Amino acid sequence: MTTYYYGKPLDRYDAIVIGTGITGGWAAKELCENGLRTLVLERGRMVNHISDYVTANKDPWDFKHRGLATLEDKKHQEKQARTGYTTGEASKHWFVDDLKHPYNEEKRFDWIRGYHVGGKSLMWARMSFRWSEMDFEANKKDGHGVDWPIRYNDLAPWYDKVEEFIGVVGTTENLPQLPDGIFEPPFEFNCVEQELQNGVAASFSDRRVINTRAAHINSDKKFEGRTRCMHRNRCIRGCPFGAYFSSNSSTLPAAERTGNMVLRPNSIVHEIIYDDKTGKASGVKVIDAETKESMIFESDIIFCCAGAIPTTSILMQSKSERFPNGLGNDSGELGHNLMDHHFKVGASATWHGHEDDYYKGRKPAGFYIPRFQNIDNKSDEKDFLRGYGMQGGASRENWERAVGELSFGAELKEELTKPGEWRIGMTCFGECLPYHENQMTLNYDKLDEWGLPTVTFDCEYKENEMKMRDDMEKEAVATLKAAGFKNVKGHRNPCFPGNGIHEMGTARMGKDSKTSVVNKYNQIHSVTNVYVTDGACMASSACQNPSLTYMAITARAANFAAKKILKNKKTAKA
Amino acid sequence: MDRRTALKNLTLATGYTIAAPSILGVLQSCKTDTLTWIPEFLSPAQGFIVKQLVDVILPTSSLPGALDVNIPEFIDLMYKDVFDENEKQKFLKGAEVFETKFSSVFNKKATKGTKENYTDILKTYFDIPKEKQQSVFNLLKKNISDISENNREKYHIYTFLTSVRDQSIFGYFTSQKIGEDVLAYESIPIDYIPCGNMDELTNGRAWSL
Repeated sequence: MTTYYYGKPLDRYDAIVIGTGITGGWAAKELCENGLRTLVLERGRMVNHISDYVTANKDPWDFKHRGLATLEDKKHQEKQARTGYTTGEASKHWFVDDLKHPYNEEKRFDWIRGYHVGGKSLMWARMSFRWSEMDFEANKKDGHGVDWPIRYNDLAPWYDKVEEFIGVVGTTENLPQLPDGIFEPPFEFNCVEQELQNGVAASFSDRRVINTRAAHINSDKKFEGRTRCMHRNRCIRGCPFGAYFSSNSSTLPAAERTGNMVLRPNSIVHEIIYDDKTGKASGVKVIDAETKESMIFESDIIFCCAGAIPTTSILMQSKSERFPNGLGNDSGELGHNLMDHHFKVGASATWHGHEDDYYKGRKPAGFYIPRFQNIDNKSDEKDFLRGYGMQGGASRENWERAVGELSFGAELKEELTKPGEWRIGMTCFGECLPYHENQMTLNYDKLDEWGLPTVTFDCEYKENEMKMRDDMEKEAVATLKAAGFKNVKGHRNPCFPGNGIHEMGTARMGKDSKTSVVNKYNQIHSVTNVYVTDGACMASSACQNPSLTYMAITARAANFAAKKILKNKKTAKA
Repeated sequence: MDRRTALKNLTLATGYTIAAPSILGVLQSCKTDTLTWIPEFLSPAQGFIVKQLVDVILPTSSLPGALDVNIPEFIDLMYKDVFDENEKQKFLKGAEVFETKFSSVFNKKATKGTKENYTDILKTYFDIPKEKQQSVFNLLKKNISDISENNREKYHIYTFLTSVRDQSIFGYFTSQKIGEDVLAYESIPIDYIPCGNMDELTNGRAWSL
């Protein structure tokens, strides 16, 4: 049975949006608000805001296995479980079944996916940082990758628009490497996070501890259909208050309100149809995920927002006489320059003092130490390029502190009902350079159950990332020690691409069609009615979490596309 | 009611989906009863041993004990559904070696052991100086093939006992009774207070969530 949501299906649309995650939601909203009749296609199931957040109100004892993944779960989510936090009973239903959705690894790649309406916008970590001028200039400056055809000023008004709509907590800091935005009030530091901020301010001139910037409502300002954070910190399950930004709570309802959106879940787009006569794309080929029925939808423009890897996979499958190696792949760069942030390196420690202090409420965000390496002449003499930021939080230990000891008896039980020591932990997130040889390809010998080729990854972190990791651990330890923390311990665990869930770069933006796939408005150079605005379009990775930038880029491209279409229509009428 | 039957019937009815609170309500309404409890993963003898041990590890005092929140059932369920084959086998081997050790120490079957016997034997393994504790944890990190023959009994017994202890603590503090009534509990905190006096905020208790 074919199910369409919101609007009635049409014979032809002004626009098709592939995907409903962070960028698909934004494309849908902006195109619909500009008056374009828009078909939004999602390969996974429908997820209704609130009513489909089935675990949102469960306490640990409401889960049969107290939240742990069972052996049966692990069988189906062996790769999804590689994050360590995705496949427990509270959130496993947001992550794909690896047996149903296989992929191949020349080198280990942790491909974490959510196939449903809302995509990863439902489970994202909500960190929302602007990129700075130095991020857009980096490729040009050190010669890695290709120069971005846009600069900070091209995106600044779109960052404003996005932040105003989604709600981002934060504080104004006047840092050149992390531009300020339009902020909701921050989640204030607890007393030990405050100690860190004070201690770092007293000990370092090059770095600063700030309240993290994250997509939450933390005030009584009016957001359509959403309310402020209730401090449950169960964001990954879907928020019944709509307090954090997701497509489901925010952009899709906005698109729906225009009356211009038709949403079709269970629609696997596998090809964009290229029309040789017009030199443009005419529509998309779709397989219904449930019935396996094939169909075609037509439109004037197409927005690829399926996520970096799926979007690239669709383009690669879109072969024609003109494009034998995939749609818009004149450069040969399609599928290359795959990046993700490397992390799993940092430090933890304890704080002596504040024994009588505690907090109430589970805030969903902690602190951030913006990049401080390679940002000016003073910090520019490292043996690696680019930089990293640090993210973390402090809290008092709970009963878990007793695991791995030998104590027992009534006293132990009594002791564990009290809060334990104050602990702090932080993790560094580092930039990954764009390497041509880090790539994804399609395997036509190994098809999925819809007869479509599977993705193969051949991607690794290299010398620059490894050298940066040495510095990350060293500086994380030094930061905590200088700020007066005790028992400071560095950690550095193996980290494989994909695990940061910031995969990007496989249809990069650039000035030249010989070395890049899309232009500065995200149009495929040679097929200008196809736009790629998800992570695939990124020419570098910076070290900031990328979603806010994806949203700004998408909003900008969607408004550009809509204005162009409306102008053409006007001209045609006249 | 035999809660195993109750649970089994209910999970059959729900097709083994995530248990709804009402189902767990049934699980939590019946206190562990050795006479009627038949473990699903453990043997009846191992079930008896685990029950005795958790009662020593987290005894009932002014606060509820392990048996008040069905920890033996919880451990049985974890080993049935959550732990992998390797962990299952290590646990079972440990239980077997412990059972043998118990018989040789007390000259009777472990299933005839009293609470006093179990307290005594647990003390010999857990009431040890800090530096010896460290050597125990070092031993537990090793592969069995790297452990000398005369250390193997120790390895198996500690594998078993530390797992029972850790699972007891996990199950106890994530149970409804402890989570809602003993620890400080706010399902929806609404407000956030970044820093305040612990006694005023929670009466000195840790937050359960």
